[in-house]
Amino acid sequence: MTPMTQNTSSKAKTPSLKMMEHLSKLSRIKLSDEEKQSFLSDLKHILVFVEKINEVDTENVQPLYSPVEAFTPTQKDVAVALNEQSMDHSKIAENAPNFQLGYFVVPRVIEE
Amino acid sequence: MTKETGLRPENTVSELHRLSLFAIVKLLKKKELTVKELLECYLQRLEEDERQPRESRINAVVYKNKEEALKQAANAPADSLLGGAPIIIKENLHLLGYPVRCASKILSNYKATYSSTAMLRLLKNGASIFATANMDEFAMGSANENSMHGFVCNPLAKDYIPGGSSGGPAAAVAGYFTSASIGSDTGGSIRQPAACCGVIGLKPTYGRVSRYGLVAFASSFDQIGPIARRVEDIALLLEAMAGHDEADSTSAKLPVPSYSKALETPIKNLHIALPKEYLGDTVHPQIRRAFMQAVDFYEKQGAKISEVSLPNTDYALSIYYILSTAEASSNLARFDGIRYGNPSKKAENLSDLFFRSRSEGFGDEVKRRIFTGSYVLSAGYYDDYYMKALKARRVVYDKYMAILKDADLLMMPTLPYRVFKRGKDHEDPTEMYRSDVFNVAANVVGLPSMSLPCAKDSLGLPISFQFMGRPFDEALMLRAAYLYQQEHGLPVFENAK
Amino acid sequence: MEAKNLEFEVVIGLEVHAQLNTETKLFCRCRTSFGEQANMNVCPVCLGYPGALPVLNEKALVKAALLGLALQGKVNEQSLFERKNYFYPDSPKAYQISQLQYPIVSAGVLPIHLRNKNGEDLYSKEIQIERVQLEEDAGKLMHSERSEVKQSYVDLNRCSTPLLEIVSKPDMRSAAEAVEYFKSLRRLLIYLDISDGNMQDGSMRCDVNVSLRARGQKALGTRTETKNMNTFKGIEEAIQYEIVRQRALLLSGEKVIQETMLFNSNTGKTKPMRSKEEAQDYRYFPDPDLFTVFFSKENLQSLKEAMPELPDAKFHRYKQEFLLSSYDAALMSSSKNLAGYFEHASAEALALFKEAKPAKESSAAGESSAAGESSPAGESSPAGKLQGPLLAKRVCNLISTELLSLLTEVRLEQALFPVPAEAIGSMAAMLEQGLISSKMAKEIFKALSETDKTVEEIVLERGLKLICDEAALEAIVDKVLADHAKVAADFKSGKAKAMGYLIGQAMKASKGQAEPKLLSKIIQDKLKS
Repeated sequence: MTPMTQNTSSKAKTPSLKMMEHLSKLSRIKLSDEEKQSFLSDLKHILVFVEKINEVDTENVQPLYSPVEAFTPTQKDVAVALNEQSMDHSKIAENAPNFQLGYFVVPRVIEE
Repeated sequence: MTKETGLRPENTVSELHRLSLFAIVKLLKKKELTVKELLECYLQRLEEDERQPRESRINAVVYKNKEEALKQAANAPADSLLGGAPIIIKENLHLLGYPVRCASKILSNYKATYSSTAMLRLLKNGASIFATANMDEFAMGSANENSMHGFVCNPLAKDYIPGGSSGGPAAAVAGYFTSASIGSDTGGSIRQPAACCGVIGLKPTYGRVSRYGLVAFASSFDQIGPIARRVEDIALLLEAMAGHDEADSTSAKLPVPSYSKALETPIKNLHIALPKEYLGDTVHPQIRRAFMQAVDFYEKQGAKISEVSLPNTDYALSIYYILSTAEASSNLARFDGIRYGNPSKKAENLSDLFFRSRSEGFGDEVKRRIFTGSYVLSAGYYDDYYMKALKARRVVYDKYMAILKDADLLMMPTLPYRVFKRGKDHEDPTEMYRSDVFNVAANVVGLPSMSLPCAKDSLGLPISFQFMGRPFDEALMLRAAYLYQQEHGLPVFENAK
Repeated sequence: MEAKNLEFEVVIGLEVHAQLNTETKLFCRCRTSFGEQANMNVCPVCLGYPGALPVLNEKALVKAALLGLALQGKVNEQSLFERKNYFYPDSPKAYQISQLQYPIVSAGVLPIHLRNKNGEDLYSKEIQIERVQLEEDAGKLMHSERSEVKQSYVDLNRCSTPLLEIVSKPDMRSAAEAVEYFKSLRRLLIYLDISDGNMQDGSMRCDVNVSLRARGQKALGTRTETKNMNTFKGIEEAIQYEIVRQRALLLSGEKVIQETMLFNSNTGKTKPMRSKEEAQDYRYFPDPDLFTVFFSKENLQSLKEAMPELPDAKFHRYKQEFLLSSYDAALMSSSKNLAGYFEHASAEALALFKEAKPAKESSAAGESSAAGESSPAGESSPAGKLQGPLLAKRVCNLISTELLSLLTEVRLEQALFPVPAEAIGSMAAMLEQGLISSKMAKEIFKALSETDKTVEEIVLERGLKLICDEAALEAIVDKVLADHAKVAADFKSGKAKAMGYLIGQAMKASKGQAEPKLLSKIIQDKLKS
């Protein structure tokens, strides 16, 4: 399958602090101001490190998503019988920090 | 010294901890040894290690369960492959009831409520699992310094790194706390620590062993594999774990050869290729010398040695750090403290829950890789990084596969550098990344790869070489390694410091 | 009333989400059934536990391909699952496995037919389908009614249920078209046994994209997306509201903001969703745990061959073959089970009609005997060709008047008809033959649904046969005229209304069994003389 390419407008090659804040949001990891600077510096180093990739001639090359080029296996639409791998409420409760009356409890989500 | 057990006959009893897995199985089946004795021996050694001051405590093991292991051993089927033999597994493999912390604070109280297919297969084949091993957090690291349990010492030289991320499993084997262990390899995480600790590590072909139950780091790179002191042990464990799994869509529908029984089959017309890019200036002269001696060995045994060129070798590192971080950023997004893991106690609302739990729970290296992965996948950068890396992956893949049409095995040093001391402060995180340079190609292309210790450097620390074989031809690699072990012998590393 | 938009053209596109009625979920073998206790149909995979991996449900793939075929779409031999990464408590892996660049179906078309309130045809139109993609549903997030309870509750039973997302091109130009499209799509999904189309339970919902543009303008205006609509009325109202709102904005020189809206059925208004974040960056990438999905040409061919006749085809066939009106044709083809029932009853009616003795059809049932031929027409003759349609029309009427009110959607789904198709067929034939009246049919119908007897048995037992024998009727009429000689005389002296009275009496005397037209003719003839 020929991949579609995204619309690459002229994006900055070096990430900015704003980008670092965006990444913090995208990955839901809170960062202090120092951390932002520190991780930004790391990111810059890493991007320089992987710049080498541009030397590879990839014209007309199809992406390789996985070392195995096979087709997605499928399973029959039959419910699996309960076994020791099955999850019941007691198993869920073993690891769930806040599990009440069969629900995972989270701080209230405001939608509207 | 008998070649089989690696033991001096007169020291059998007090040297239980030196027994190979193969020897243990034999003795267990002959009822000349019990699992209980063996466990008591290992556990005693572990307790001794725990009493050591921090700087010289190996700290390879993070959880023990003698009772469960004894139960498993008692349930080992009569004619099983492993007869009840106890082993250790890395802390990122699910086994019902065992903690699966991945050396991370975010999972510090997480226990398995289901089992990985590979571990179940081990149990079905008669293994017992008595402990879990330390590792780099979420398998990200090359020195086992990124762990909530604290660093791991190299048993051969305590102020040196054991390698990572399977530093715990490798050190446990090198420190004689077990005959063998199971680790995971995403960018060299079995082979590099095996090399640092002077033991043997094998990463199977991608898809050879089921990944179901292995906490995912990078889905198209991860594989589970054995670490041991003897080739026959590696073969036994691989045979016990490998095979198609319906629960893992990426596992191969291929039969599992009887690796352990085929080790002595003579190899005819072995053709070994030496990629010259793995023998360049970056390779330490001591390593190059030792490596060439290993090559000579094979040549004397009748193998054809040829030099080839794999020019895109360098790119494997870039490909790896782009793709593996991308996949990891997605795989690790599920850790939010809602269904499992540690939610932040400071969370006042939902947004907080996500932001703080993850910030408090993940270590720096993990964060670094998540940020990198999110970056290369984000809108506007996807083409330049992620898509580019996917295409480069195919270029590299094609090159390796082309060479492997003629050559049976590729051979190169496992590490171009000598094992180094712990605690190196890195301004630039990529300095550590370069440690993986000789190891990542096997993960990028999905090839089976195995590291074997072959010599000692001037400090008495290990030098290893590695093979890369054709997809699903672990058998040949094992046979070639076995040949080396039997005819040349493997260096024995005494507990140096 | 449609908002008047002389200056603007309304452009509407729908993204429909339909849950598949497979036994198990899309990527694990947990049951899809719901309604039980929370978090009961779950496993490490759909709970998003570390180490768990997805395995594709074969049936889900087949159903997706089937829909593609039915929409005359391009069912792609190769398609790809991609991860849509975002954080939300109802999405345990923090990514949804969906399809983006290479969906299972690309392109397609769904015809819709618009009718007015009286069921008269207005026009037909083809709505283009952009794509159909397979993806997993999220779990359910619930909140306490009491706002002081600062907690929400997550139930992952529904998580990973297979969904088809069907994206239309922005081809619709009115709320009516949008609703008709949604209805037609739903009908098709139920027909093909792909989804139960249950809107209340959320099996089927849609997002409505509405924008306005100046007439003649090619470029699309800025659109808003109103999410999670699950009632026909809601869709209509939301669209109307948006049209009015956007029109007012544009006319006053302001711009329409591209935003996501929620519709409040109580107020009848749309409101922007509290903005989650800036435009989401989902960082789609192919799921490395799943390879390329392959649906072979051979499989596709077998599906094609096994495809049932689709609602639209039935609709057209009923109009052509049975000469049903658009309204009736749409009604009979609206459900696969109903269509089957209708076809069966009509075939039965035709067979019975042909077998029956020829006498009496000519004078009987005047309004239906179009040609008024005196002998049973051969099939090839013009009258013969009309037998089928006439009988089908009878069947249709019977179904409409007697049956539909009793058929709940559940019953229809399970083909639980209170009366066997053969019985309807039998009654239709008898009506056409003039052997029973509509009133009698009602009575027979009631008896059928209460007993196990056949139509013939009931007719016999209750003597529910129209009297068509002229001699017998003449005798009755003679008696009535004799008993009511004064009324007869009144008629003869010009009181027209008296006729009605006499007919009524004669009907009564015949216990309601006199064939009405024949009786009327006889009385008239007798009174004339």
